[in-house]
Amino acid sequence: MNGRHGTLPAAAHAALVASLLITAGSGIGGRLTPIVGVPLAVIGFAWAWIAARRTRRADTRSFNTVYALLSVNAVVALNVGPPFAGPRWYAVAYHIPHAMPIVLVGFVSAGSSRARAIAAWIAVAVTSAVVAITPVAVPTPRMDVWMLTQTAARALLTGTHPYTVSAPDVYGGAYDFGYTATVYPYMPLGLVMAAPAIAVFGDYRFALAAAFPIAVVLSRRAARRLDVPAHTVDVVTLALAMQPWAYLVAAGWMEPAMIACAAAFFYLSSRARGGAASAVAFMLLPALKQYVVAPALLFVAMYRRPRAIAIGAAVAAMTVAPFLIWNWSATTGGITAIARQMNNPAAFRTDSTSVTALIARIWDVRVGAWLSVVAQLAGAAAALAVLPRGVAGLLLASAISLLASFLVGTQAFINYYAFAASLLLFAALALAGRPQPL
Amino acid sequence: MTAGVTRAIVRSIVTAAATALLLMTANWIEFTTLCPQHRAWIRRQGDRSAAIRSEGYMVARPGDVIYACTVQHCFAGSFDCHTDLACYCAPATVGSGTLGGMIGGSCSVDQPHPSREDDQGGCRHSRCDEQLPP
Repeated sequence: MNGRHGTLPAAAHAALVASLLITAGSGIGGRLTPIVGVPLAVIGFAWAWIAARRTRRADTRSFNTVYALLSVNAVVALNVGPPFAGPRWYAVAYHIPHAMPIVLVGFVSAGSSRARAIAAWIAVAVTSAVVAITPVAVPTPRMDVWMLTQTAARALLTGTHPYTVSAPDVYGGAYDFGYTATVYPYMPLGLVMAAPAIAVFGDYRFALAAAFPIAVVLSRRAARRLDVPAHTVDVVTLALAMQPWAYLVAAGWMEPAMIACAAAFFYLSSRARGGAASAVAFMLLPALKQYVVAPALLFVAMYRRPRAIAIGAAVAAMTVAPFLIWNWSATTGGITAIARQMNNPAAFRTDSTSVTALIARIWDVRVGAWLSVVAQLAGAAAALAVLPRGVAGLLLASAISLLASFLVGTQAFINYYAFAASLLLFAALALAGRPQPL
Repeated sequence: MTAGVTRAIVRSIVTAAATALLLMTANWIEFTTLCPQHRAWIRRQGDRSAAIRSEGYMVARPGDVIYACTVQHCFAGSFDCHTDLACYCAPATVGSGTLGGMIGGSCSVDQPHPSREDDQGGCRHSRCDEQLPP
């Protein structure tokens, strides 16, 4: 499966192309979302399917398209400014991780192995630095997710049930999304992860900032264990560095932690097949965010090791159980809040990067949240039928199922797609290396 | 730096420049054909009772008045310009004259007491395109 210098297996190539198209489509933002962003995301989804269809082929592709798409992604990211107002120096610093790859691509594509590795690590260092200073530069983002998480995690630190406290409206009544979120609406593991960072640094986003270097180190080590050519590893590292990390961290979304968790699964799977540790890492994904439903089912269908699955599920359950015992109704009310809100047609987000949002804009037809659930399960079933059982198959199938759900969802934004795009990058590495069964 | 690396960097810069050009073209197409504020202006030219904005996520805050403002909207400096008609949420104390001066346009009060139930006037259901800081 190992490609020659400057080539990679066709399936890995398609997964990489899919990831870059998804990143470009979801990152384009603003008024270009319907006319450029959604089409690019749909094409990216199609490429993810092409990757699935190519998994049993032995032919290779050159990196040329990938290099071009890296440059395209750099410009797309440069076109969008920081999501929240901050000091002028940060506005400049924010763009450096996007601008530098235009030059770094040259070293990665045509430089010596040493120059290539240095270029990849420069991208990692610069992105890490900008992500790390983001909570300092934007100390109070105008973002409900951040306010809700900070408030709930602070309550947890003082011994108050986090799903019983109301957060102030960070928008001061300036927005009406068709629903009111005053109580933390995500899984408790996010709070368990946020609390120590708040206790030490005052802001949980410092923990999110650490997710990027962790994801890089773990995915590179996993790739080395699977004998992925160094060239491919460096290209994927550059692509990973070009994910919208600073945006994700500034907003306080939990996806950076999910990406690090997926990287941990990839690393642990590359060490030993069938281990309980990798099962725990994967099962923590739905414990971080509710939308990761089908990947957990795919994992159970592909893994076939009941003991490891049971341990993984038990650990995931243990992140919720104490909160349920503490206050059942408040916890279930918080965790299911988004699902209940999405049943309200007024809560449909027409500013989403999705086909359904595009249809809503053009014809004012709004589908229900059920379609997203059906699409995720159908996408997972179809991917399961096509893909070989293994680490690569699981990562690719998970990305496909999530993308299917986002593209027809009632809300789908850059953070959702960044997670799916990162899964595709890890899948590309797994597809470029020695096949690793689960 | 080898000649190969230099060539690769040049290729990357050319790709980036082509992408920037394509994005600019897409922005211009959006500006000329889809700009919602310009479409609102066209709508109101044909029907004085048509809505300027009746949906969206931005709403009037307590104490806000909604102003209907016309403003010249230009693409890439003055490459191409058209007139926009948009709803601005701003404190009542600002006044239409001051607001018009701030945005370089002309404003009038559309909803003195915005409410989610408003179905008359240009700016309905308390929605607006832009907000001024309180």
